[in-house]
Amino acid sequence: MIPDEIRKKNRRLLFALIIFALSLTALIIILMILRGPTKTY
Amino acid sequence: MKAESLQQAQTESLIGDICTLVKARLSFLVLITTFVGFIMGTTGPMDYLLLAGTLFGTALSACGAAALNQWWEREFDAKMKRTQNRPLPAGRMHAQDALYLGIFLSASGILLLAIAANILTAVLSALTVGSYLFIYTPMKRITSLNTIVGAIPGALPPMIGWTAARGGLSIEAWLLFTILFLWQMPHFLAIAWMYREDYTAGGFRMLTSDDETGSSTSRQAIIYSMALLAVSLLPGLIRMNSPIYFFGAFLLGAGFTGCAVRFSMIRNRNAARLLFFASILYLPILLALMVMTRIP
Repeated sequence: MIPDEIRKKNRRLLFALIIFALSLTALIIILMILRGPTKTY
Repeated sequence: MKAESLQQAQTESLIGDICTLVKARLSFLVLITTFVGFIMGTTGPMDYLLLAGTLFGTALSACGAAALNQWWEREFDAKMKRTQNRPLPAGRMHAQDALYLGIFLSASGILLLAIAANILTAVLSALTVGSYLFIYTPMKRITSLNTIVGAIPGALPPMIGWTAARGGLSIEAWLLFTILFLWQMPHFLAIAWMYREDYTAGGFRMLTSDDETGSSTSRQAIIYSMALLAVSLLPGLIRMNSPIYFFGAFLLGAGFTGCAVRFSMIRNRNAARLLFFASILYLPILLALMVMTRIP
């Protein structure tokens, strides 16, 4: 029998993963905007 | 002290569950092939920010697709020994949590690729996720051709890397796709034959399901590894790579084909396992050789 506590902890960890993914995505987009267009193709 | 180590073990297990849900090792392999595609497609100085955006966008969509795949297959996974301890069939995670995470990661990955790289790269990523989830996953229980169809999303990541760096597709990108496509066949045939009983129990129709002796599986493994050997030489012939690559790829391909031939002669679990390990060694060495000997 799996205690519900494990599922709750997993949910918190998944939420932390989403926050991390959002932060890094935002950081990359901001850095690209600050740098401006560089594509040569 | 005892409570602390229990806490640490629980945390490690939770992180392990997340890694299983997003198929961390498979997603890492996707990143490596995307990276190789990016390097091969780069002309002039390396754009590290574009590389970071491409790799992170690809990582997000690969992890998202893996989570959605496990959400979809949770009931079938529970029937197979190999997969029954995954967090969803084992009940350590809410199914809807995996579903929401999968949707979020896939969508944000594709969006990031569209913003950081270009629309074509995002479309290729969406095609990868879409064909993996909506064509390959349901096909697994319908036809044994699923392995061939499943090799398509598996071969798209180097094209994603290439288009992010180059902005379009060309013969070289298709070559990378073909190499990855052909490599997956002996790789998955070896796994499917080793675990054929497990796959049958899970309701999967595999090319190996009715091949108790391994004769058909090994014959197919030889055909695909020989085709891979031939195609893997082409980058050396079209001046994509130097002659060193040509000879290296020949030796690697000959070794890999040799393992497939050995499997056809011995046809036992150990020979299939050797072919599987050979496939795991073959790809990173070939890709490293490709990157090191590329002609910019």
